[in-house]
Amino acid sequence: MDFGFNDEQHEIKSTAREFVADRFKPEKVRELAESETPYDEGTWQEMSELGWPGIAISEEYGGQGLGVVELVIVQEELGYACAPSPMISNAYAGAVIEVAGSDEQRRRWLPGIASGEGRGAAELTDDDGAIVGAAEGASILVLAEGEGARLVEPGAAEIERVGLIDTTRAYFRVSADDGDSLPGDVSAAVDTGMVALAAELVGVGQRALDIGVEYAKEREQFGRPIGSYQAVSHRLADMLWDVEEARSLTYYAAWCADAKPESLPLAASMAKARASDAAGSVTHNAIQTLGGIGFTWEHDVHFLLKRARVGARMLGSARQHRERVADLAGLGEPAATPA
Amino acid sequence: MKICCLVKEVPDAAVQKRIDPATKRLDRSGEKNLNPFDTHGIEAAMQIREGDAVQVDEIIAVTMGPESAVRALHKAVALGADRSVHLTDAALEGCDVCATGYALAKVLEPEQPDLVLLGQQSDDGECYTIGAVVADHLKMPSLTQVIKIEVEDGKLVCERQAEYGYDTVEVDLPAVISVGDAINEPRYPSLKAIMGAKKKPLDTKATGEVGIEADQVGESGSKTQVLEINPPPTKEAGEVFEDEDTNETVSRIVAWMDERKLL
Repeated sequence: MDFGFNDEQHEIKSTAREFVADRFKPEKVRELAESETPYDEGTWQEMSELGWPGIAISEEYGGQGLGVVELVIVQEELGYACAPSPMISNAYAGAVIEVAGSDEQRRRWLPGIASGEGRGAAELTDDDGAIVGAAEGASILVLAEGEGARLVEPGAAEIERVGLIDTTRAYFRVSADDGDSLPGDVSAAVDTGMVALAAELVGVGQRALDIGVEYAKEREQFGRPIGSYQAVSHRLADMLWDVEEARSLTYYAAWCADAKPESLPLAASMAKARASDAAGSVTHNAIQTLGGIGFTWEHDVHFLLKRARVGARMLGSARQHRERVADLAGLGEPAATPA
Repeated sequence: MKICCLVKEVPDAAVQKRIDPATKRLDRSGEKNLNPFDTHGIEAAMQIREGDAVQVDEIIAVTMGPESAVRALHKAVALGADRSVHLTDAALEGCDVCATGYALAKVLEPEQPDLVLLGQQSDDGECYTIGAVVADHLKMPSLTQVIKIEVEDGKLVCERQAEYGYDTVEVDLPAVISVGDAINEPRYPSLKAIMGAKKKPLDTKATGEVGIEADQVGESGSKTQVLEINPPPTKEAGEVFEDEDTNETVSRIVAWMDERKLL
């Protein structure tokens, strides 16, 4: 049995890696993170021409008709570059509408979300309340409503930018009295959102690991690269273990979303819990490996740490997901979807 | 117009390159990719098609390589080629640039292309010469390092990079053109193109099917022979001037350069 990606998935990964590396170079990410408009519309248009916004949306609604595995492949690469992009908020909005929307709601909103021309933005809860990624400029907002969700047009909402520590992405608080309720169960879409977020965190962790390893090979102390000292190399080995385990769980959860949906709730929470912890730990350890330079604004690693910290709190913290895993494994009462 | 794009499967840029001491050939194991320089050739073909100077009926990606090279062809069609041709045969193993050029020319002959495009070099062997060898066998004019192509009255007007600046050259068709990487920025394949790549026609050819003579290819048919491989000579250690007094350091550097007639 082959657990690897197929040829097309390899090609999607390779294309995503090349595109993201070219369009989201570190200096570009820094420039956007320090500007008032953190998304480059031109780059979003290019991503749209490649079909990325509709990657997991059905062809019936103008999407590519691929799966969560392909979405995860792209999200991991975007995470690696810490890319300022509305991709995840748009993809999550599309997933919620496709899973829980009525036929009319799907027909109205999904083609724009899939093409990227009518972006969606979805609420990604954190401990302090609801925040919405990339709400400004979106055509439709997907907000929580009890256990479900509702659609709100931007004109009917108050949108206020929130200054989170992660400046590589724009976050907003949105308030709206009314909205168009989605009739269906959103839980499968929320699980998909968790898996996409986990993939992004895996990418963030991989980049931090690569930065740490590269530095440990080059930086010399007492005539030897610092990576030759166990205090450093063991730390790097732990970082690799963190990233690989989070990646395996994330890929498995993505496969479940596409092929074994009954296992998705457990797999999604396992992936999100592990990826949240891993990204936090690996970015922290990368800074420790870098020593003094890691603490400066000049080095990019702090962007990764901040993205990891914010991403870890979205759609449920690691602790909430561990509790859910325990419940789903029969160790307690079933928990509500942490969203 | 029919355009053939020569492409090659090469080790991924991230893979550390090494020579296999047993075979004295480049170790091509590990992750592979389409030669990035060839993507400029495909993009040039696409831009000719999308321009209004000439009607391009077909763009064909052609490669010679092992079974795995099919992935490079899939990427080439994802980037815009209409179909692909794969020359693969155990007899081709060990071909040098002369034998490879001969074999590729034999595959191209029945296609009767009006234009053959390829990247200026491969990312592994970096010979820069395959285009000229192919052109010689096909009896076509050849240009290298081309960074601008315009189609005018059934001819090409090309700008090519030279040591002293740029040449503007008019070339009759059919021709073989190797393009420099400054010619364009290759597009990225869309998801739809990636997913549809395997549905486009792919012809797999063996040496016998295209009239390749066995004694002209492979290691025995190659004109070159690798006798020995050595690392480049190590450079002498440089002289380090410690900067304790900048004025004095500058004077010492100037004197050092003057002594060697570098000023």
